[in-house]
Amino acid sequence: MTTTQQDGGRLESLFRERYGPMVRLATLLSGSRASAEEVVMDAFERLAPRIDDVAEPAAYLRTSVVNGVRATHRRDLVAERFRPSRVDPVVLPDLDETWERLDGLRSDERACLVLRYYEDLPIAAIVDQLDLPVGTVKSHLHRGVVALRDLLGGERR
Amino acid sequence: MSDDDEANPTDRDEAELRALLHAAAATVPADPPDRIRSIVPLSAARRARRTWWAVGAAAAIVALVVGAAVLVSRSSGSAVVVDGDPSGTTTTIGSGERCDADAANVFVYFIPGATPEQVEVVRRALVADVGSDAVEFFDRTRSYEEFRRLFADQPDLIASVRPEDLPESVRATFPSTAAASEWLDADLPGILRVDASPCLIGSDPSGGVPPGGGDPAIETTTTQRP
Repeated sequence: MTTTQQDGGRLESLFRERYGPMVRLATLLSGSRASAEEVVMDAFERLAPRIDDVAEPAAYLRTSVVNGVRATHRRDLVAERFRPSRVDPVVLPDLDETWERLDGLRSDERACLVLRYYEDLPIAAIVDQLDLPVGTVKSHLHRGVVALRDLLGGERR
Repeated sequence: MSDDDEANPTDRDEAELRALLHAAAATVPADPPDRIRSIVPLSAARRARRTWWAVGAAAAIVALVVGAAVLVSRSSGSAVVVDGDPSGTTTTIGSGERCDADAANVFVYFIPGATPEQVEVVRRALVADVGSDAVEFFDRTRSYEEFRRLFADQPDLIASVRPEDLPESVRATFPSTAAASEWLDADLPGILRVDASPCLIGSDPSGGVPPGGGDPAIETTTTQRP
């Protein structure tokens, strides 16, 4: 098997394994599945020519997806106003509400919340990922938690 | 609850936040597209854009070819005949049969991704209307030969177009313009564009345009699919 074939095999294997999680992450970050798919595909394309040189392709992908969402955030804000539906198969009322609450956050707040509680990144990793001061990340997390808090543990409220 | 409490969510809050975000994420359909298999690493999004670019390019080339064919035929006064003319004064856009005064040509062009089955459906429908002798299929190679003939004086243009850039087409000669006009509304899968024009294969032995010049009502009429 040639090196190119091996690279293609690694990439395809990674694609099978990480495409879904990355699309979900990007959708949580952006609120738009269409935009998420585009960003994820772009991330795979960026990774493809250098997959042999990247020590942790999955981490590279995540960084690429987060940066891609942030880079396209402003453009998507405008486009989203004209899209009929953000995520079609929202099946439960509280999840519907979750998406609305996420939409109500500023993009960096949303990114901090998603990376912390969906991707389970430690705060130091979020600081590196988003290139934000640690105090800013903590502040964003605080706002994010407050925004969603009343959706949590209804029986305790 | 104090601000400190809000700033420091409990373990339970954090666990529920994780569950909530994972539940929300689980509502996002995210199956990998099958098509990636054959062309990793080219993305489906990129390919989709290229496909539509190809559709646009094919449509533009079709417009170019049809326009050029009509202009050539009218400015030179020569007939437009099948398979060209060794003299180079005539060109190809349709059936080889000479046509009657009221006859008309229909050109059905296909999108780049049209399947052989879709093409066959159209071909059979045309055959049902006018008979197999009046229907011809132009694959990309044949279309390219025609393109080269039409633009023989523009080598730069020829150099910029490859056979695969050109759409496949099925072409038919109808005995009447009225019957041909009905095909302008054809709504079958795979169709890029339908053109109809007065039959340009003159019955005049001198090689002029068809007797009566055809029906101006469908003079190079086009319907472009959305």
